[in-house]
Amino acid sequence: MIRSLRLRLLVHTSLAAALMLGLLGAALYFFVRHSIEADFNQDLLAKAHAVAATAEQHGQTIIFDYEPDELPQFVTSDHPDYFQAWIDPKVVLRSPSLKQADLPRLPVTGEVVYRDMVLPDGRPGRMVGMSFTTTIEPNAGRNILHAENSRTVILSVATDTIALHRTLENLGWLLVGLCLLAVAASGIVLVWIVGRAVRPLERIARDIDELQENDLSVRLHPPDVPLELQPVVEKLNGLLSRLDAAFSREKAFTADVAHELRTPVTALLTTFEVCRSRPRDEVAYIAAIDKCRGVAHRMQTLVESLLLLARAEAGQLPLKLQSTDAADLLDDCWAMFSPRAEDRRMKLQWQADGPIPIETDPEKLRIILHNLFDNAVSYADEAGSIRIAAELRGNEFRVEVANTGSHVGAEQEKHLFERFWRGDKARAEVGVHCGLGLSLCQRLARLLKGRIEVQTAEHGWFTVRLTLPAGHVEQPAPSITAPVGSVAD
Amino acid sequence: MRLLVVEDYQPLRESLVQGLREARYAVDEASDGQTALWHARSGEHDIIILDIMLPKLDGLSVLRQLREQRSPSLVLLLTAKDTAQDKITGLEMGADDYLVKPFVFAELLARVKALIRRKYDTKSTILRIADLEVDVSGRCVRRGGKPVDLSGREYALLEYLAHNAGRIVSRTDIWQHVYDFNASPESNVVDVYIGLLRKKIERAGKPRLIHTRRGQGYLLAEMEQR
Repeated sequence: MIRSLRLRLLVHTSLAAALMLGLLGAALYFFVRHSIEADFNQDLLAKAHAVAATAEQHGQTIIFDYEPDELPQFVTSDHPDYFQAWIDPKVVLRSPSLKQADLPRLPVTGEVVYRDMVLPDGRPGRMVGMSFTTTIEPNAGRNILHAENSRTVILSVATDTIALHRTLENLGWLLVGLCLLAVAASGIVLVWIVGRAVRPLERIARDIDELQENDLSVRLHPPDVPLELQPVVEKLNGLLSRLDAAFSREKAFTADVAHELRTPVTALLTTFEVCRSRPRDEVAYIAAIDKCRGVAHRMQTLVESLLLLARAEAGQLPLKLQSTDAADLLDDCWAMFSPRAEDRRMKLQWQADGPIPIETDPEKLRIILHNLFDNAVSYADEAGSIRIAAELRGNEFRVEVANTGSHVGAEQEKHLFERFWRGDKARAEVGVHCGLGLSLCQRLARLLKGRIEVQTAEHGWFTVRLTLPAGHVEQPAPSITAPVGSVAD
Repeated sequence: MRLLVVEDYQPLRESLVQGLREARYAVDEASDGQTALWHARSGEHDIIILDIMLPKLDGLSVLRQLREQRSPSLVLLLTAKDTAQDKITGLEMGADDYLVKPFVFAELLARVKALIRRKYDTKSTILRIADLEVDVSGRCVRRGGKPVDLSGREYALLEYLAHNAGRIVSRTDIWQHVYDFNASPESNVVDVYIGLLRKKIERAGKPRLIHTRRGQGYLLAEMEQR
């Protein structure tokens, strides 16, 4: 298996080109050889005809009437041709060159027959066998044979094939040489063509190679991308964009975390140093300790929210669905906040009387409700109102937590779920919220296959609506106690 | 010396204000950008300690507006971001110094003192008027080599006069730069403290250093006896 695409293309196309050229050469060789041999045979037959043309019949006698210089190659050549004639079954004539030797008598039945043979003097040769009928001449001449009427003469004529073989051999070598040259030339051309064809690939590979992990803003812009590579480049650029965005988000998040932790750490350090700079009374020390405890508490909340958020985003929070009375859970959660709400003289509208049986993960729901209640109590105006409503609507469980005194404008709604975003007013006045609550709620709501929305309205009402699937819990019949705490999946 | 601390995180702001007040500075505070601008408009603060991440109006915008208004106050930026770009942006917008959170309070104090020296164009930490020495870093005063024991308010007043040695400073200047807004500016607190200070630093047989300019204010300088 060849790993290099360029080499593989090159080897395969070169093999194909060599095969094609070889086949072409062979075809050309056989075609040319066929016509050369046909010419040769034609010449041989013409010689036979020339010999036959000299035969004359005078009565019963057949005379081959020729002068030695008319057919010199049969008489006095260094490399003579041969002929021999028969009138069955007797030999009637031999060419002078044959002397006493014999040519084979070919089984002639009217057609012309060719046969390769070894000539009497040892040269390779070819022989043609034919038959002809003599014509009757009134006067007798030399070489008189007695015959009645016309006679059928069988004639064999042989000549050497040395020149023919040499021609064919030269032709063969010429074609082999031409083929090898063509293969070499096509190889060079193919190297160039394949090189051009894979150049965009190499360019993209080089661009990818040059990507730095700390700079993901680069995109691939190779010129003349072939159509086949377009989707690859687009996919890669898309992937880069997503990676870039993810890394930027991560970077911004890390910077935010650093910022959010640095400020309370500075507060702790400054408080300790100022407190320690001179002797103080007990009240001052206790105040400083309380302040530091508050700061540490905020840091703890921040760290825990961050961990929870990170686990939720990494999909490491297991979902433990169980039958739950949502009204009970709401009541339980609110109990933690009602003292603070009373301190701030808030009016509570409670519209969540139970039981509201749903199937959900009560621990996750508790975290969401805790955050929503905390926000409502913290961000509502002094002596404002809070409304908490819950109901089952079809297959959905819906909770609304609303408070007055909101300064969140409609244009700020989209920022509410961003990590570390805080409404300005809230930030200035409360200073204990880390700005992770709503993004955590959103993440957990998604985990519970629900959704969370916010709504700003007139008169400073700010509403958060949580919608969750109610699950497959049957409405409890009045006489039967609802199963509580049974684990369902 | 009057400072303005602008920081939105309440625990940190409280501790900064406490620490700076205990170092004998008059300190105002603000928790957001708009309040900070309102305080700073008078231009009476020698140094504004300004956090960058602020509600309503961020610290850099506050800084830009101060510089547009040609505020004489020096600005020390507090930032939780430690990238070079953040520092460069802050300094190029006209900040005089910056400090990255978390910092040590002692360093903040040292930088505040350095900025005050810079504002009043004094290279040395010891201000000398005739044989009176005011050691700004050690916060102690000597006259003719003998230590003078001053209360915090008295010291703050003397340091302000010493920084402005040779110049007449009005009662209002003194009021604005030395004292918190706890007492009414109409009262004669300034005159009372000038009187106390005179008693402690004037010596028999030595030239008077604190002079009264009727209708204008006070002047700390060595002068020919008339």
